[in-house]
Amino acid sequence: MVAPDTTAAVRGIRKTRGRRKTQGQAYIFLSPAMILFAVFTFIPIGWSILLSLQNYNAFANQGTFVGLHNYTTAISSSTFWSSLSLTAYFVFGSVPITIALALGLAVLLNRKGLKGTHIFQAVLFLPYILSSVGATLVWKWMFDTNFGVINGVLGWFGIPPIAWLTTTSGAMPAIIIMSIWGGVGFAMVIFQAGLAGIPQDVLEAAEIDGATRRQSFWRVVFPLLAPTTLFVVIISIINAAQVFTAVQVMTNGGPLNATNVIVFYIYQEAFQFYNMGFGSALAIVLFIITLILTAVMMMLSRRYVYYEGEVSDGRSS
Amino acid sequence: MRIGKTAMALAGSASLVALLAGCGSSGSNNSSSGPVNITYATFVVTRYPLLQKYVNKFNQAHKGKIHVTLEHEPGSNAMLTKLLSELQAGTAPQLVEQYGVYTPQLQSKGAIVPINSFIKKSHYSLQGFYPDEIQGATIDGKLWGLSIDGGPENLAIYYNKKLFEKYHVPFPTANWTWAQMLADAQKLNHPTQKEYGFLTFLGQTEGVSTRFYTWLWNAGGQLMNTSNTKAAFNSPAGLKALTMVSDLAKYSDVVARSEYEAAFQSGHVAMSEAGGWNIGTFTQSKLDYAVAPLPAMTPNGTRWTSAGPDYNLITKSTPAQEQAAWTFLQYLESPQLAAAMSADGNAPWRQISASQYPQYAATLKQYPQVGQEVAAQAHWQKLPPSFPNYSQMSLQVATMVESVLLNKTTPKQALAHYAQLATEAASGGSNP
Repeated sequence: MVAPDTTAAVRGIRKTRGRRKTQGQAYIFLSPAMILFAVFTFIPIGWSILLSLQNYNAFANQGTFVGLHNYTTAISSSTFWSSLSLTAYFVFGSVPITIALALGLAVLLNRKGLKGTHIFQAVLFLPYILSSVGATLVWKWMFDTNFGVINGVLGWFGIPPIAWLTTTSGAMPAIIIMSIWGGVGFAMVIFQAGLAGIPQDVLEAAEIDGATRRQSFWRVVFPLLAPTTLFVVIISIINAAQVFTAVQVMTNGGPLNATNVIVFYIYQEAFQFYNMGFGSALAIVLFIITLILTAVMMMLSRRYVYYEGEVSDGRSS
Repeated sequence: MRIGKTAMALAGSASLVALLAGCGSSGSNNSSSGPVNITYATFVVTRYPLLQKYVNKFNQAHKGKIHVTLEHEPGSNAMLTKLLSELQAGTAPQLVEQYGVYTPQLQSKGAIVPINSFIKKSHYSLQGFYPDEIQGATIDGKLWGLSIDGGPENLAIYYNKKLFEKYHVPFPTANWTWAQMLADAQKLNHPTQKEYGFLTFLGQTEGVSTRFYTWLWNAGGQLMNTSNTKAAFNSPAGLKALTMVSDLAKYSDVVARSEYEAAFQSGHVAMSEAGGWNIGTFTQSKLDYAVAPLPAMTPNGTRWTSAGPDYNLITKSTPAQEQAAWTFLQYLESPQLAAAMSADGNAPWRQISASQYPQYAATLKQYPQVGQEVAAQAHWQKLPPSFPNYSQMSLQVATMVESVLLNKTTPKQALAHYAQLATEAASGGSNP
C-alpha cells in the first residue's frame, strides 16, 4: 500500500522537475526575443518616461529634473492641440475609407470562380511593401498642381486644378488619399483571411433559409468577421495615429502647419529643436491616448464582437 | 540531446548579446598604424560627382596617411537635423558643409572647432575669400569655418528670355525697380496657359526666410535689433517688403520647395529669385535664361542680396582626425579646386579670375550666367544676423511669409504676430 504512494510522489517530483526544466528551456529559447524587445522597446519607453520629466541637454548629456512641467507645457500649447486635432482628422479621414474599401475588395476577391485573384491580391498588396519614401515621392509628383497626373485626370472631367500640396485645405486630403492607397492592401489580406475562416455550412444554411446575398453578408458574414474587423480597426488606428513618413516627405508639416500631426510635432521638438524632454512628454501623451483608445475598443468589442465557440455571456462553450 | 538544445539556446543568446554589444561600438577606426579616416559630408547633390573625383585624387596623394570618405547630406533644414543627431550619437562627419547661418548654433553647442591655430601653423592665406565670408564664420573673434560657396552664389533674378520675348516685355536691367518688376510679372502672368510671371515657393525653410530678407533690406528694414535679442522687422519697411511679397504672389506660380527648380526649368515661369547653385541644373534643361540683379525699391535704392555662404566646418573629434580634416580642407578650399569645381556651372567660391585659371574661363564661356550672377551682386552682399537660436527665429519668418502667401492673414497682422514669436525664438523663450 505504501509503495504506490511513494511511486506517485516520485512521479510528482519528476513531473515538477520536468516542468521546471521545460520552463527553463522555454525561457532560454525566448531570451533572444525578450532581449531584443527589452533593448528596442521597454528600455526606450522607460528612457522616454525619464526624459519627459527632465529638461535634457543632449549635447552635454545632462538633464535637469522638472517634474511634470513638460506635460503641463504640452497641455497649454496650442500647437499640441492643433496637432492632436490634425491627427484625429487624418485618422477619421483615412481609417474608415481604408477599411470599407479593404472589406469590399476582400469580398469581391473571395467570390468563387473568380480568375486572377492572386494577381489582384499581389497588385493591391504591393503598395504596402513598397518603400514608403519612394512611393510618397511619386505621389508628390502626381499631386503637382500644374503638371501632376491627378489634376490632369480631373481636368478631363472639367474640374479645375487643385493646389493639393500648396494650400491648407488640400494638403491633408492629399496625404489621406495616399495613405488609403498604401493601407488598403494590408487590411484586405487580413479580411480575406477572416473570410476564409467563416464556416461554409453557416452560409449554406442561410442560403437554404432563403437569405439573399446582401442579407447573407450583413446578417452572417459581417458578424462572424467582427474579430477580424476589430483587429483591423485597432491596427489601422494605431498606424494612422503614428503617420510620419508621408507628412515628412510630402509636406514637411505644412503648408502653414496644416499637416503638422502629433508624430511630426514630436520629431520637430525632439530632433529639430532638440527639446528632448518636451518631445518625450509628447510621445508619452500619444502613447497614453493610443492605449486608452485601444482599451475602449477592446471593452466595446466584448459587447459587439462575437467569437466563434463563445456563448453570449462571453464564456467559452 | 536536451543538453545540446540548451547549449544551442545559450549560444544563440550569447551571440545575440555579442551582436547587440557590437552595435554600440564606434564606427570610427584610427589604429596607430593605418591612415587617419575622416568623412566629409556635402549637401550639394549636383557637386557630388565632381567632389568624388577630387576626393579620390586627394586619397591617392595621401595614401596610407589620410583617407577621406565622401558622404551626401540631405539639403535644406534636414542637414542640420541629421548633423545634430550624428553629433549626439558620436557619428558625425569630421568635416561637414552647412548653411552659414547654422554656424553659431553649432559653435554654441561645442560641436565644431575653431581653425585659427591650424591657419597659423600652416601659414594658410585667407586672401581671395570674400570679406563677408570671413565675417560670417567669425564668432567671438575666432574663425570657425571656410566658405564653400560665398559671394557669387547668392540671390538674383533669373529670367526666362523666351517668355519675355513672347509677351514683348523688355528684359530686366541693372537699374530696374520693384514697381517695374511687379508690372513685368503682371504682363507675363497667363495662368490659363500655365505661364506665370514669377515663382514663389512655400515651406518652413531657410530659403523662404532668406528671400524675405532681401526685400526687407532693400526697403530699408532690419531683421533683428543690434544685439539680436528682438525682431525688428515689424516696421514700415517690413510692411513694404511683405506687401511686395504678397503682391508678387498674385502673379506667381506658388509651388512646394521641392518643385521649385523643376518649375523654372519647365519654361512656364518668367522670373525666379534663385542663386548660382542653380546654374548647372537650369542650363542642363536647355532653358534660355539670363540673370539680373535684384530690383531696388526706388530708382536709386539699394540692391542688397543675402550673402549666405555655406561653410565647411571641422567637427570635434580626435586631434589626428581634426588635423586630417584641416589638411583636406586646405585642399578643398584651394583656388585651383574652386576653378575646377565650377566646371558644371557652379559659381566658384573664391575670388578668381578667368585669366588666372583656364578652367574658370571655360566655365564662363559655357555658362555666361555665372558672370552675370557675379556682376549682379557686386557690392551688394549682406549677411543675415548670426546667433545661436537663429534657425528657430528663421522658422518664424518663413511661417510668416507662408501665412501671407496663403492669404491667411494680412501683411500687417502677420508682421505683428510673427515678430513677437521671432523675438521669443531668438531668446530661446519658445522652448519649454
